[in-house]
Amino acid sequence: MKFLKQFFGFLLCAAMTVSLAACGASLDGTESSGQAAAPVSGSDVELLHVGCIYEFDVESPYCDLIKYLSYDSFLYANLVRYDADNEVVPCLCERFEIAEDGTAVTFYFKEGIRWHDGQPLTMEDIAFSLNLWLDVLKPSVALRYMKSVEVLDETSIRVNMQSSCAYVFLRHMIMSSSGCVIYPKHIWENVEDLKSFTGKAAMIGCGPYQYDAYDSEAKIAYFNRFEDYHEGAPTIKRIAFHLYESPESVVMAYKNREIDCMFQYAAGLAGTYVPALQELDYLDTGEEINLGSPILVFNFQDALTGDLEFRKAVYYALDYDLLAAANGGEYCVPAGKGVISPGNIGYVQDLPVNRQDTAEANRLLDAAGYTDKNGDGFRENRDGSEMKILVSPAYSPSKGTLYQRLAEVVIRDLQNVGINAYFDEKVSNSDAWRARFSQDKNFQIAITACSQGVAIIDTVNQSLVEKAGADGTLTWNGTNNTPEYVEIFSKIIDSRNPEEYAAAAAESQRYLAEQMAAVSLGVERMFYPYNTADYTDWSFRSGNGAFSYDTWFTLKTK
Amino acid sequence: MKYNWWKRGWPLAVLLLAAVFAGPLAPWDPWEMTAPFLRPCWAHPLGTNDIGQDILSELIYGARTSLLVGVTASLAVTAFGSFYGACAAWFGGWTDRLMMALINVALAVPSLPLVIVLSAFLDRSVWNLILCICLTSWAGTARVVRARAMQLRETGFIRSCRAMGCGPLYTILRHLLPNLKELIFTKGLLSAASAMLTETSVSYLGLGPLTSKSWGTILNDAFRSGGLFNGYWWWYLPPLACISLTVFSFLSLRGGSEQKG
Repeated sequence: MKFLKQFFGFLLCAAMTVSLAACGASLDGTESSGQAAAPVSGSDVELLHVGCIYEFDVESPYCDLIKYLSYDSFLYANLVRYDADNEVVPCLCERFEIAEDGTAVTFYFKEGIRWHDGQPLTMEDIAFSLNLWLDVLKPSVALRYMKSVEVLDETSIRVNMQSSCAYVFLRHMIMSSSGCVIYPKHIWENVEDLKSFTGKAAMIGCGPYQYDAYDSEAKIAYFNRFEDYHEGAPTIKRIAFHLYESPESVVMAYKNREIDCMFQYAAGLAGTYVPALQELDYLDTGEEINLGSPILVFNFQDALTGDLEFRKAVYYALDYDLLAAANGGEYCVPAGKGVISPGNIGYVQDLPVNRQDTAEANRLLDAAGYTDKNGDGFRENRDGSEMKILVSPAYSPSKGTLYQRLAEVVIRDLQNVGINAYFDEKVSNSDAWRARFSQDKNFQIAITACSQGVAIIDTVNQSLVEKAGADGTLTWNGTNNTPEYVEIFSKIIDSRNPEEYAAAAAESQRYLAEQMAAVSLGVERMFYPYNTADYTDWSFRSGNGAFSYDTWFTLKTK
Repeated sequence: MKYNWWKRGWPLAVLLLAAVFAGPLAPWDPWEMTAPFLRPCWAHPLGTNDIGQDILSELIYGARTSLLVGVTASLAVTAFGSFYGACAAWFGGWTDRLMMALINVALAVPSLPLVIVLSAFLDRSVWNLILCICLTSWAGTARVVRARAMQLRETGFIRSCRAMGCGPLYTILRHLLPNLKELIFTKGLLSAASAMLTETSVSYLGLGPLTSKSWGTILNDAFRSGGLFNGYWWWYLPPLACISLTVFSFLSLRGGSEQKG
């Protein structure tokens, strides 16, 4: 009897061991028995674990994760991409030429480019995709400048513009709206509803990585390198994207050594997590300057905030040190006048750093006739009517209450110089914020941010100017339609090459500094930690950290 | 054995005093901004937050919001829920069935997610938050009161009231509800504790009142500014302790009311 018990006990243990081993088998295909050979120094990377805060909601170009990966030509290669300094360079095309007048761009391709399913890429694919953008997807404003697409021969194609905006078109097309990828015509030509077509076929691209699987329980998406990629196979054989809910989860993942680096478009970890990250000796914190920044925006269509003297007074009233500390602790410093952040094209170095000067703020307000006429401690309008300033903080799930905190400081600072500023309590969700800021434009002072993407594509001015472009009919996101500003932004949009673009961006920086169209509330450092203990030769894209297009082709084991 | 209210209720009394006398008690104006991220020191016993506000003063003023939400929501929920439950029990029949159906529907809706959704679509004020809590938490009280009122309805003195021709409103307010006061008081205490926790949860998620200090918003600020990861215990532990202590106090009083009852 005892022997039988021992025998069954042994069987039970054996069964449990087998079950556990089966559970331990993972999609990543790596051996868990410890028999896998140690990686040879300087060899290709077998599997890189990447953390991100996106969803893998659908197997198609409309997937949240894929959309942002497409900005770096991961699965669906774009015609062009950004290089390490965010300048436009060829990606899927071999080279491109912008017409001298800037009204057309011609893309030239190598022969032999293939889709992930082995089919050859043709100019018909490119034309099909760009026409989809133009006719169906109708993406961002600059892309709508496209007039027509012409297939010139088997390896070249020309895109004609409505104005001389071909260069900015290239900048825009890299970070265009969801779904704006290069589609394989042989798969998509008969698809009626782009968004409802999903599955492995919808994930066929021609980028350096091809889709393998998504483990919905573990929330990990796997991609394998595309051996036939036209620029050669990447050095990272397989990439696993671990999807998390929040930056805090990503930090915990680093602490548990689950991930080697992170991918988050234009939003690394805030400086407040740095002490926790510095304890991890396998990491470099991957410090980057945020090319965007939190900003204070004035409504130019409001009588009070449309007044330059008032805007200047607000500028001098603000405590920039405290605003920077609230934004990123010791990793955020006061910015310079103008709004374009250091590291961005168009940044002007010789502008003074923002500094509080309440005496100057009071002097400006007094001189402009905004005085306390009834002795209640707050200033009145010139005509004696009550002056109240609504301060509207942006609603942002990813940034939490950051903008509210910044608004608190702004309100306190304005009240300190006698401006009766008060909190906008109506903005309690994304829709309310969009209505307030973009649709109805019924704010006075808004606390929001220029995203890094916008800053890279066509500068912060996009969210400040009301209309611009060669024909002056294109509507943008802001409220400023003064002719001088419209002209400057039109120069940015219609710049024909990087030099013209940089000059126009710099001109806009000086305008912003003089006219106080907006005020930067800090230059923030962001962190994209990466594993330096196991891997070497990481490459960086300015403002986006170590998980870059170049890293896929340079990373090696240590 | 005589129940010692003071023994169980003193933390609540202290908190109430702190809330009422927050002005003289708080060492700083909680909205005043000084140096950010200070560790505990003589001037700031619990340090300062990310915009240089004194955390101890925030905590003291936070008691106002938390208690205001807890007590007001509890009063409203208890008053309405009790009256609703008593009416359902008194009238019986189809009226009762209809009113019960509404209670069951209200109970089936997950209250915290609903409060979060409502908070996200209303203006960010304390009163709107109280309204959200009231809208989602009256049903529990109504159901319990109805059940006990059904039993009471069949007792002799209520039957006598009916026989004497007393109207429903008079009987409910004068006889039915006063005889359920121990139960109602207990439910009221539970509702207060629950409302405070809801307020904390909503504020912690960043959907609380914009212009008031509350323990939930202090927690939110601490979490968002890396307080947890960086070990700023003086920032996140005190509000947690206050919330726990207050909720515990409410629940302890409930024990007393049951014992007394």
